[in-house]
Amino acid sequence: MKKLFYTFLIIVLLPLSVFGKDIPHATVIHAPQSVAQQQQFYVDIVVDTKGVSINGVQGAVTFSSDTLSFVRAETGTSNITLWIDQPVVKGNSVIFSGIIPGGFDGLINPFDQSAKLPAEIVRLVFVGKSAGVAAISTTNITVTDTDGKGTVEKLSDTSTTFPITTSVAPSVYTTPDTIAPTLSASIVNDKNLYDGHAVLVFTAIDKESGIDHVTLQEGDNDLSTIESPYLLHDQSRKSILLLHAYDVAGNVATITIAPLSSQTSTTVIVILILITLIILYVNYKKTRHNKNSV
Amino acid sequence: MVIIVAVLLVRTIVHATIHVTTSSNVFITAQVGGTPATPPGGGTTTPPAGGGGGGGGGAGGSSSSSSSTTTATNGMPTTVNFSGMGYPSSKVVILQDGATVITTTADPNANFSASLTGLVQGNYTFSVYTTDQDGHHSVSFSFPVYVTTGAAVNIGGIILAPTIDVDKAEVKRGDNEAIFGFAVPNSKVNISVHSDSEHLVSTTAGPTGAYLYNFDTTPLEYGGHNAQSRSLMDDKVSAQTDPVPFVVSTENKAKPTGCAASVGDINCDNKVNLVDFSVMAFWYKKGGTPPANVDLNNDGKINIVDFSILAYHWTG
Repeated sequence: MKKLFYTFLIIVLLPLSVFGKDIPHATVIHAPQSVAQQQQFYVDIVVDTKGVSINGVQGAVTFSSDTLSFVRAETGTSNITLWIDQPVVKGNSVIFSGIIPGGFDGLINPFDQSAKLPAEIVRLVFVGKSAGVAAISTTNITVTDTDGKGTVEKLSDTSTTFPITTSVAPSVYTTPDTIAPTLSASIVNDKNLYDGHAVLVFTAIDKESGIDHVTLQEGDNDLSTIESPYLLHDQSRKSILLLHAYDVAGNVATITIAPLSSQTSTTVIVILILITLIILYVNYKKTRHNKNSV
Repeated sequence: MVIIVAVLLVRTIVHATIHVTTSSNVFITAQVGGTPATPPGGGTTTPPAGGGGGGGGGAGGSSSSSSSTTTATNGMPTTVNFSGMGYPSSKVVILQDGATVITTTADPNANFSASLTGLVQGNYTFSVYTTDQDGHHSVSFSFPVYVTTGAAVNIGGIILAPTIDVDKAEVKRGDNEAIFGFAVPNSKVNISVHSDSEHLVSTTAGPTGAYLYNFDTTPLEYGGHNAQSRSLMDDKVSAQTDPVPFVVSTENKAKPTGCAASVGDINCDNKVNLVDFSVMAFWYKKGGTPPANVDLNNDGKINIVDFSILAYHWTG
């Protein structure tokens, strides 16, 4: 036990030796001190930009699958604006990539501007699987500088360990969230995107628990979980599109996109009404003019 | 060089001292009706283990018993106010997390102000840019800010960068290269032409914000060069423009026009936004040889570098 404690101390204190050096960017893992079996907890993956602006991040986080089970990734508090690869688990790794239009050189807290804060990349929720030592490490994390050239900087891998103790009682981690996501969508035709076919593009944002998934119901077709960009089945655009964005807490935002024919007929109706009104107005003026002449 | 820090149970993190990289005149103030919440990503606390469903939330990394949100009090709405200077009557665009949320017009003295209300507490990246009467965009002025429910955040003193262009893609050595654009009216405009050595010149923007400098290329070597500018007014300094490239050669060649000259505008709609991102994402996932206008660094593949270049030129 004593040996384990000293090993633990070395792991904790060793990284301190590199503090104080000039660090352009650094990955930091925020993990709990200890966890029990069947207990859910989260780990935050953070990049400290040290004031240098970055606008892209990609990489992976690996975990010890013998002691930990992956539950989900939460992106609500992430500083990543657009995900190229949504965080997804593959084996014992969670991979991700995304960009920050405008760049990120540190989060400003208006109430404490003594220092800018690091970028939160993703929050990973795990559950203790079996007693032992849990290990989490970053792998091949790279960032791109906001320099217009996409200059890539590879960050050194970092890791952390903590004990998984025997279970006291199971627990579930939830992020409080009562606010629905925001969802925006449009349909585009571009020669470089599915050869110019009608494609649905959308963004879904949730600032609390983060987006869990987005579904689309296209006319009478079955509900599908989709990602942007999405090639529509109904290229004639005669179907009503129902787009739903769900956050992790289950709140939902919905957008309905009317069929193209319906949009066209609405436009035609509006034009016809306007023409009718103009004709009526002209006739009214003529009649009035004639009356005045008489 | 990059050094990584492995942290386990270490609460002390070295933060960079706050500084504004794009302008020295910006100020940020805030008022709140309730108690300000703690931003996530601060890295000063350790996440809770379990906690029976408590915890973290928007406050990220706080203990499981602490609240994740701050309730608005005194009826103060959650607001972010922006103010600063563009060019006289120029269009000013404000982006929230990459999406256009406000388009306004600067007054004849180039001042602008705008407000966003009804925001949910959390991390936001706001960007501001302006467009001159020739359709050129200034570089974006961006600030990642944590917004607290019930708080009013004021971001003022924004001096938007000038626009810049040159009249020739290739200029015969000894001829003049016209360097022009728009800036804060009546401000001094410092122009830097650089390659091996840097040549600094200056001019003054007129009352409309327009500026022009005919740069004599005699002292320049044959080959590629870049021009950049920034405006100065009293003690206020704008950010620098993006570099505009040109070549000194033995003949004059006009600049290409249209979206070929606009980096990242894949669908040629004079914007760099979600549609362009979607086209790039499509080719990223498809693989193979991407179209030339999607492959922004011309390396035959789509990867994080292309997305980074796209993000840099983002207009929303």
